[in-house]
Amino acid sequence: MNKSSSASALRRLMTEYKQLTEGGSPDDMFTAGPISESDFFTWEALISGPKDTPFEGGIFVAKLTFPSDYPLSPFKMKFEPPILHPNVYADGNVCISILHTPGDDPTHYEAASERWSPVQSVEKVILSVISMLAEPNLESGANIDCCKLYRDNKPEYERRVRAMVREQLGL
Amino acid sequence: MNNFLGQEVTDPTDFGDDKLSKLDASLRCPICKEFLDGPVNLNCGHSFCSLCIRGSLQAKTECPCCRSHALESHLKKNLALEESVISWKAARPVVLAAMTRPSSPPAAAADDERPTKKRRLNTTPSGSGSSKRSSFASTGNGNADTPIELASSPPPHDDSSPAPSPGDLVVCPACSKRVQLKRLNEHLDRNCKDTPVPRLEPGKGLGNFFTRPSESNPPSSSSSTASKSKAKPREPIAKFSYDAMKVHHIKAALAKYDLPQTGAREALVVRLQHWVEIYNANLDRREALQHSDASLRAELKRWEDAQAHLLAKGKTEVPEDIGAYEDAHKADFADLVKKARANSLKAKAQSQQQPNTPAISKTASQSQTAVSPLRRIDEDVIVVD
Repeated sequence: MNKSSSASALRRLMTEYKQLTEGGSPDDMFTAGPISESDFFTWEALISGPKDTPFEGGIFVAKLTFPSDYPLSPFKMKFEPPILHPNVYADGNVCISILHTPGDDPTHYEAASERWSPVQSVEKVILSVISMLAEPNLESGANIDCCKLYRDNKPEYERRVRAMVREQLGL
Repeated sequence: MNNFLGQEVTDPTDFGDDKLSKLDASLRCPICKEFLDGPVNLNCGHSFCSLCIRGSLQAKTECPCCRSHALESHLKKNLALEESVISWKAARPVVLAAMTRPSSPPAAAADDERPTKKRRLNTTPSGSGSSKRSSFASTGNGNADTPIELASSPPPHDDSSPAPSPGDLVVCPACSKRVQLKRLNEHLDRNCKDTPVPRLEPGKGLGNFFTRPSESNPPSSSSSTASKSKAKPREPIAKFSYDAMKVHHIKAALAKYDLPQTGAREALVVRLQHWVEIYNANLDRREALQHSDASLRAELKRWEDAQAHLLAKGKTEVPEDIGAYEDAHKADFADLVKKARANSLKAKAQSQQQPNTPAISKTASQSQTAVSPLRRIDEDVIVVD
């Protein structure tokens, strides 16, 4: 209930942004930053599909929404447009344990150790999401149809993902 | 919010990919990513700003770094770490300045003077050019040595104290004169033109510098108890069991600390909770850096205002795509501009008529002055168009 001041959330976001812009991301796998200067609590991230996966070559756009008590509470991440992946809901919202507070567990499969904590950061979360793209976690699926497809017919899953990547790039 | 954008944000990347970045990062709070403010340790050994970890423990009773069980009662302040942070904060701009001035490397400049040689005996032997960096490499957690070569004036200090105190003399990296560390920035800003080597003033440490502005903060309600409570040493406030408290109990507790007692029960609880947090966190700062009760009250007020502002802001929707919003409401904007134009014409016509009506000249001139600011706004609208 007792929320930490939004001013400290803002300072932390500015520090993270500065660190991301000046330090860059490992292997330039993603970029992230506020969409407009008037609202530091909404970011956009551009993530390039990891190599040797069907997502390779794609650029995926995700919107990050930060709460006013960040970093006590995690931010939300939503792919816009949505992507086809077992751990991404059909509306684009990402389901990953690192973005869940220990209290809420929509899938009941997550160990407390991999949940959100205030020492996590945008960079660490996006890196987790990138590794999630490469290796879906079928135990806590968000898109059940996609989970089944991945388990039963992986070549078809990969074909559809490639088709989605091409479509999103406008090819 | 925009006023925050003007603030300077410092972070470890200021040093580039370097060992200095690691040093800088090690003195920062993992929660807020700023330099540790009133650092405290948990049982597991991890350190945070006192206020940050108190907020985090309220949400979850575990260490945010290693997730081992943790309680507020476990918090222990870490004075050595605080000292390191303060020293590093003072040394940081000097290091950055020295790094961005490759033409006169501080080590080379200082070679002409005797202090360097003495200094080298104390530190690890190293190659001439890299002596600055390598002295940092060995500093693990918080041994904030300065990049500029220390003058020999207080030599016995070198090994025992982790960092030069602000009164210590250091060699200016630009002109290699000896300057007090606390004056070094000022000295560099003036292109090394001031007279160096002042005597040590033991009373004037960094502490006095920081505590000074506390009284200038306006107390939120009355300052009568502020001076009273200052006299006795301050004790941390024991936790309240808010659920068991009746409203008049909460109000009594608020009154005890001279805090406003307005608002519904929930607002009172939130206020008291945050007060206990910032009050106890303040006690984890060293005494010279502690804020007065009055400035803590002002801090609480600012925090409450920010919360209220945030709630109010949540209600007014900000358009997501400004361009699309402009297109969608083009007709409305055009209408507004038209109205503004008509008003401005009317006002102009009125002001031209007024000299012809001398009977009510006095009231007319009054009304004219009252109208004029409005007219100026109309003109502004037209300029925008």
